[in-house]
Amino acid sequence: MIWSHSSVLHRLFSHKVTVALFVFLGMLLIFSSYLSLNIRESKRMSIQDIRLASWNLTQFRTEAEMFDKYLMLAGSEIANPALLTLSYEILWSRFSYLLNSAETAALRSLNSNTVRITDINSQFKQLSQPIFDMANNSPNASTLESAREVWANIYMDINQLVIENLVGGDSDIILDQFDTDLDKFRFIKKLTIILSFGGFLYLIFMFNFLRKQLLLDPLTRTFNLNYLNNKAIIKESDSYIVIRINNSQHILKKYSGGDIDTLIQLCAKRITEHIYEEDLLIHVSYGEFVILKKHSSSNINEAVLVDLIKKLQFDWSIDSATIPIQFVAGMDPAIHEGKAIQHWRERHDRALKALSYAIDEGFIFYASNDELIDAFDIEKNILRELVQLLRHNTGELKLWLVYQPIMSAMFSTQVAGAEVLLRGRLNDVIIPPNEIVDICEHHGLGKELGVWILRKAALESEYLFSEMNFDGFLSINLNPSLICEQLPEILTTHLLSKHIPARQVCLEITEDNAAIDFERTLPIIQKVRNMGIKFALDDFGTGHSSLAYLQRLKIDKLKIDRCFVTDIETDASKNQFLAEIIGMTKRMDVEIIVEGIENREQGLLAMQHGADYVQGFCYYRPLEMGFFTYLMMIEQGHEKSIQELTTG
Amino acid sequence: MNNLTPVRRYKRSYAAFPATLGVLLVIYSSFVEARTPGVDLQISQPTTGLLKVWALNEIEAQPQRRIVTSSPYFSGTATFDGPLMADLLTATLGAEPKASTTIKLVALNNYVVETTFSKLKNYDAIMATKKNDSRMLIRERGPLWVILPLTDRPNLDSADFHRLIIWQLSDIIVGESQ
Repeated sequence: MIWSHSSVLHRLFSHKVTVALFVFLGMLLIFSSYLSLNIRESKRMSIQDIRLASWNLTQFRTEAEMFDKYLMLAGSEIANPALLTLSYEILWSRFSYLLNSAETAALRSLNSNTVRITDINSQFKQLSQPIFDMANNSPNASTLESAREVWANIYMDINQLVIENLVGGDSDIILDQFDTDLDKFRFIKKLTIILSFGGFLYLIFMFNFLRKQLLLDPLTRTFNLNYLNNKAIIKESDSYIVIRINNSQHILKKYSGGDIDTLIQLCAKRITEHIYEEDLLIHVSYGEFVILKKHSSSNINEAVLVDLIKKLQFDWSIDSATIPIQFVAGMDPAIHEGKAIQHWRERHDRALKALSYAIDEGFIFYASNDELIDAFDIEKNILRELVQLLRHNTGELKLWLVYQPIMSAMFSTQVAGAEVLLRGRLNDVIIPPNEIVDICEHHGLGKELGVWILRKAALESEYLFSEMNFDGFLSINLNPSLICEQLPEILTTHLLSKHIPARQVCLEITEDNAAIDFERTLPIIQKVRNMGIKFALDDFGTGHSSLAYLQRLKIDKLKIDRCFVTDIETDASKNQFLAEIIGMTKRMDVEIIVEGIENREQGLLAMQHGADYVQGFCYYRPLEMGFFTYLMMIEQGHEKSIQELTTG
Repeated sequence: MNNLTPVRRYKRSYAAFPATLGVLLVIYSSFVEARTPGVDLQISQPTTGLLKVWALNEIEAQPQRRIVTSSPYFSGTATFDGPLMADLLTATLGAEPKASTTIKLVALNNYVVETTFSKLKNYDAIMATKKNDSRMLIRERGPLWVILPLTDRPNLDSADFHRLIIWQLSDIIVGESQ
């Protein structure tokens, strides 16, 4: 992988390293400020002081030399008494300057200069009288000799003083100190340069790292959504695959965030190992990856991809348990027929649709195609309209209820009840009711739809119950979302009234809906049954339930699916099979409703086998409430006349 | 380094010195007018040679300026009297020289400082002949001492200007040597 070294960088810019670096720099700062403070403290004397001192010493010596010359010439033919006095006076002023001036304070403070200069000066002053004499009279040899002797000592002392001050003694120490200070300065300077350079490098790396970091997912070290959005070049010849862990909801619920992080890392690693080097893996959202298969051939073999997804499966060991991890993927295949370039979001959307279809259908892989996308588009349309409708806004979608009479088997002409059925139409296209229910369930609108149906049914059938004393039952399909804790309240609020009593209501649930979460469903059904409401098991025989737990559900009616009725009048074995099903279920003390009766023969056979109720086109098609009410009026009239006949 | 070496060297050369110096002095005195240094001020130009020799009382006869100042060379403050250097030079030359004219100030001990006319003028330097109302001996850094008003103008009180405060002044050379 291109960023395999990035974990090193990641570690380099981790909190710990950054903090440690700051601590180190802080200590360095303290150290260097300590060093420079030290330098300032040790600087008792300025370079200027030393320069002045050296200059004064030089002048001192020059002036002494001058006096020496004239003293030597004294008594000779070319002696100049005036110049002798002059040089004496000059030297005198030099002494007073050295001993008193502020400029020479530094020089005096060195070695034992003050004492020595004072000492030499007092010797020098002794020459005052002899020099004065020499200037005025021609000196005698002995005066000259003694003066020269005194001067020779002074001159030697002056020389020695000058030499010792320029070389050795305190000044040397000071100069040494200067040198070490300068060295320290150089060191600090070098250190600063090196550190600045290091800091600069660090910043460059950090900048680079951050740039990458913005495009990399910190968890999986793969590219992130930002990369997909800004940097990734997605060609039409690339296949766009969205892949995620199958049944991830189940795993997410069971384990904590840290464990899931590890799992997602494992998945990323697993996928990385199984795709080609030129393919790109992008972690677009938590647990969802995008694989960009580069330069896929136009007819990419879907079997190869199914194979790949299968190969990705692995067993995840956690807490001494092993969980099989499977993947599910949807693909937007490469486009080769010169279609316009699409934004990645469109391709993502198409791949997601394929993925969602794969999940719904229990596939591990599905490639999107135009029909699928159209279906999704229609679904989207329906969904939008449904939302409008459930918010009581008018739209293109029309939903209404129809009532299919259920006939009593004893008097086949008598209507015992009706099943409430949903009908829908969008722009003159009939939409199958189960599609509407599925869309609602899929998008969290199931409960709202259920309530809408209950209210509508209650509203439409109120006249039937209140004015016509309808004594049959209303059978209403419960969609899965309604099987919840609040079901009793929902029924009381939206369906039941003084006209619509609980005993005349039957709720139909399918085997599979009841079985999804059996332990949860059971008490709900119990509660509703205690209210007096009957329960019917719909589509019996098509689900996956066993008779054993049908018994536990304690239902009142059983609706045998139409598939057991088809062709019974011609196929003896089918007829026999229906007979056996009815016979078997009869023993469970439930009433049997046989659905899908299409002709009189089928009805007679079902009744012969022991069905309590029959339902089908043979008797009545689903009717709108107006027709149903009319039908009931006829029935009641008919009944009345029979009654009048029997009593009369 | 051995401290004693230079001393020994000095003693060795002691005997050879009078002869050499004697010859030099003879040559010198034959070219330069006889003059007793330390009593007057000699102003000259490299091109035209000697312009004027100022006797001490001649200088004192010029318009006087008084400066009361402290300095690194004595404790406390002292009063100095003397003409402004600029005036003295103007008087010597007959006209004020150009601002950029170099002025070399030479002391009895051969200390030399080079400056310009404008600086001397701007700093209000005086050619002091009196300290605290009395003339100065050579041993008191007299008889002529260039003084700047350090107390009145604190910006002049730094090493850069201190070097202009020349004592025992004996010669002034006006203008660049050719």
